[in-house]
Amino acid sequence: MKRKLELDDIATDLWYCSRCQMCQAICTVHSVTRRQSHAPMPRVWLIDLARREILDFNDVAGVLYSGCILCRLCTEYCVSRQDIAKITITARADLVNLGKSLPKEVMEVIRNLESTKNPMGFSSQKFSVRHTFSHRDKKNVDVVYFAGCVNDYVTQEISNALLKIFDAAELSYSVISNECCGLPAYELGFSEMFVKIARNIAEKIRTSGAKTVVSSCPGCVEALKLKYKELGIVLDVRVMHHTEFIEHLLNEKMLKIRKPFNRIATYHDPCHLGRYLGVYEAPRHVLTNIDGLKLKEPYKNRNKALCCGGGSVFRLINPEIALQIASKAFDELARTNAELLITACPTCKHSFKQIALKEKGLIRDVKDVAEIVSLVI
Amino acid sequence: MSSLRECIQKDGMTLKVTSYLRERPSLYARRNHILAELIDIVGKDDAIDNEIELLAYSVHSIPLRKTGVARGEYLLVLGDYVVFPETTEEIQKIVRLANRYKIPIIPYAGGSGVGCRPVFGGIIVDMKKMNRILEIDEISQVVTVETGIYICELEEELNRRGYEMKHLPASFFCACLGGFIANRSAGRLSTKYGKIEDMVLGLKVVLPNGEVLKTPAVPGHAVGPDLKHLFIGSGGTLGIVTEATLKIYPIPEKRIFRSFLFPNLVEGLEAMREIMQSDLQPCLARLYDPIETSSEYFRFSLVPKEVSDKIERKKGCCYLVIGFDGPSRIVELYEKIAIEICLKHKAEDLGNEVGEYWWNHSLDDYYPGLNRPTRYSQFFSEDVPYVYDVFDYCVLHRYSLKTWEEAQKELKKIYKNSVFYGHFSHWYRNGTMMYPMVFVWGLQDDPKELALAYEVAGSIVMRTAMKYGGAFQHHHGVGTLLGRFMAEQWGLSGYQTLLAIKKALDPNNIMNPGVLGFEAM
Repeated sequence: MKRKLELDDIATDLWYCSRCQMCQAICTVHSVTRRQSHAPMPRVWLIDLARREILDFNDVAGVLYSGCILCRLCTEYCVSRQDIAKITITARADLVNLGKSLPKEVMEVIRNLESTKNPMGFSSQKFSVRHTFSHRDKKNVDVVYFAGCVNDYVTQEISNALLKIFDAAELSYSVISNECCGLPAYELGFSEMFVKIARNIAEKIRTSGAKTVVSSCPGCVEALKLKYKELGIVLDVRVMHHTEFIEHLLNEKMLKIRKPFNRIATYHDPCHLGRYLGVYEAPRHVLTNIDGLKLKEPYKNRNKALCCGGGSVFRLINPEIALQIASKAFDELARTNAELLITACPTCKHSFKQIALKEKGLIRDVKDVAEIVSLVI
Repeated sequence: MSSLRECIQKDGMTLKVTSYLRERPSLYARRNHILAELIDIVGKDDAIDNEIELLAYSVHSIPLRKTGVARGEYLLVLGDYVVFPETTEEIQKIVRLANRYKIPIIPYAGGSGVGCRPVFGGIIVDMKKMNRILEIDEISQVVTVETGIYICELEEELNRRGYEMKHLPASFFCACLGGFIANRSAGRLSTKYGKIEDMVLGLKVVLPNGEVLKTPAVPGHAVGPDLKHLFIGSGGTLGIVTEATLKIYPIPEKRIFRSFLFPNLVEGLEAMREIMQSDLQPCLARLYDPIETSSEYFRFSLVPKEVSDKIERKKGCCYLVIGFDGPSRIVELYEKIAIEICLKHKAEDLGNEVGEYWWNHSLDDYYPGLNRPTRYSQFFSEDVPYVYDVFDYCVLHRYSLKTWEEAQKELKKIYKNSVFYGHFSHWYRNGTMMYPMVFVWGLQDDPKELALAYEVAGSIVMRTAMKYGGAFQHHHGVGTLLGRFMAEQWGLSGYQTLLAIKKALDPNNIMNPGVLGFEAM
């Protein structure tokens, strides 16, 4: 009996992408590794060979997890708006469903998600920030802040800054921390695990009674806003990225910028915030509202912005390639001659932070939009 | 080892999987030793013999079932190794190793599809890690660059500094400088700025014996024959070009495009000849024949809706887009004269906006996608066996229409289910490039019959061009598929000269064997 694959449902997309090379040079991964197996056309072609049982899925597993960072830059350059990230995730799901062996780095991320509720495998006792947050009314709050696992364990300063903003706006809020939204599981092909996580998170959000969920992680916003809905999980809340929410607070005069911030900065568009959620202007509006802050646009910005190399959990699986990608994007941003790099994603911040410390260009520090706003209110 | 079997049977086809070493047991037995030597040269991560990696170098943006067609059999040939050198010195060592073992070398970069698959297997030298811009000399307006750079990477960097190289072919996003040089490429602005051979001032080449040859990077000289022209268009058969010095230009003050509709092909060709012979120097000129002008994909991708509707009404019309760039006053004057010439030849002036539309969408038809007509979808469906290629050739003006009509007629005589159509997109004072696209369908799904149809269709076009003193190839290069026409093109003494050069430089025939009609392995 012929096996049924999810890829079969998008066979036409495989056909289109395996006969076109127009996104090859701009592909985030291929442009640094320069390998043909990482170039979009041959990569999709290999996936299609596995679908058609000419190759075993085991043979393309390496390429599937190292060849695509899911940044969707290729889609922005494609006249037909083909979605190779979707092809990659679908192929990964088939690989997992067929019970094939996966790269050990992928399995480690999945084990971490199961045991520690975060892909990095940080222990909750040691690094959790939940005790540092002030929990106001736990019921009937205005806002639920969904911290996201990177903010929980790596970039706690972003959460702290945002909660300072909430306090300044006199909001009642509760915090969901020490939880993963499940997106890494989805992106690695573990759909069932994603569903399980999503149901759990959705329940917590429902219990809070809030009408708005704010997250500092664009990946979490994508999951809560778009992916849960695709699974049929209706949250019945407004899901916003913190830059959108801060913009809303400023527009509604619930927040006032009181101090200047005299720095020359550049803004990096995170892939998931921009290309997945279409949020390009909110962070810019917030930043241009601050006196003294001079914003210099990089040559490649908005939908053409380069990826930071973090890309979901790509960095955990392919640390060397991720570093090369981050370095390329950082060089691009450094060419603005800005002294400060501002972004709106904990993964981007973390990716760039390690390079900024190496003193490339004038950029000496990397901050989130929320951190800048928390300094001027 | 991967799961790739020696012989693949799938979807009614049989593919034999082979490689250079697989066909030679004594070398195959030493494959790990050879890999270790390659690792010594380029490092562990940059010398690979993994079959999945190698398979990615044997693909082509055409369906799998057709990859073996041109050879009359279904054969999937893999390279034996892929290496990523980062310096000219590493390439010298790789070439010396290949000579020692007598293993073919396939120089490879973007893999955009012009004669770059490892048709006999061997060592694929992937140049893409040699992508550094070494120097931009703004005083002389030249750039020196390594050849593994994607042309879009180079152009973008130049644009950021206020310059252009102006080599803008359809493969802009997937081809590298080395490939352009190896195949005498032309871009969309070639009518004013020339083909790649006009853009290159000097080259650095690793010869097949591992020595390095550097030609002077000067705009002119009288120190004997210009050796750089031996390597431009050599298809990687005479060496590997590692660096090139190229002309660059400041971004022009103004660049405009203008479109016209001619009542027929004769008027369009005559108008363009007059424009070229009036010293107007258009940077771009592309005239479409009536079949392509009225084709679904052209009307869908390259013109706005109102022009598409107009084309449908005006049977037999031909679309022309023409561009000028430079100082504003000159551009405006040249455009004005060009308009006068076109109107004299009964053209309808569609204006600048339609011209700009073409320029902004000129690569759109290369992107397949849902509900996007392709170059053939109006004639037949993808499911049927067919052969296709572009057989771009170059002739003097006096033979342009004659060769076009004659080849078109000959093809139809032999294949009822065929279409011959295209455009004229690289113009010279004395002649033009003809870009016929040829489709033949209604064939048996038999590799031998498909190969024969390909051979016959190609022969009709190439031989018609040569019959009238033309060159059978203009800017895609010869590769392995068209090598059979080389002796005919150059004549016996000419081709013997080329063979003697090949023999002298590459006695072991390791450099891209089989390309340009040179001996296979």
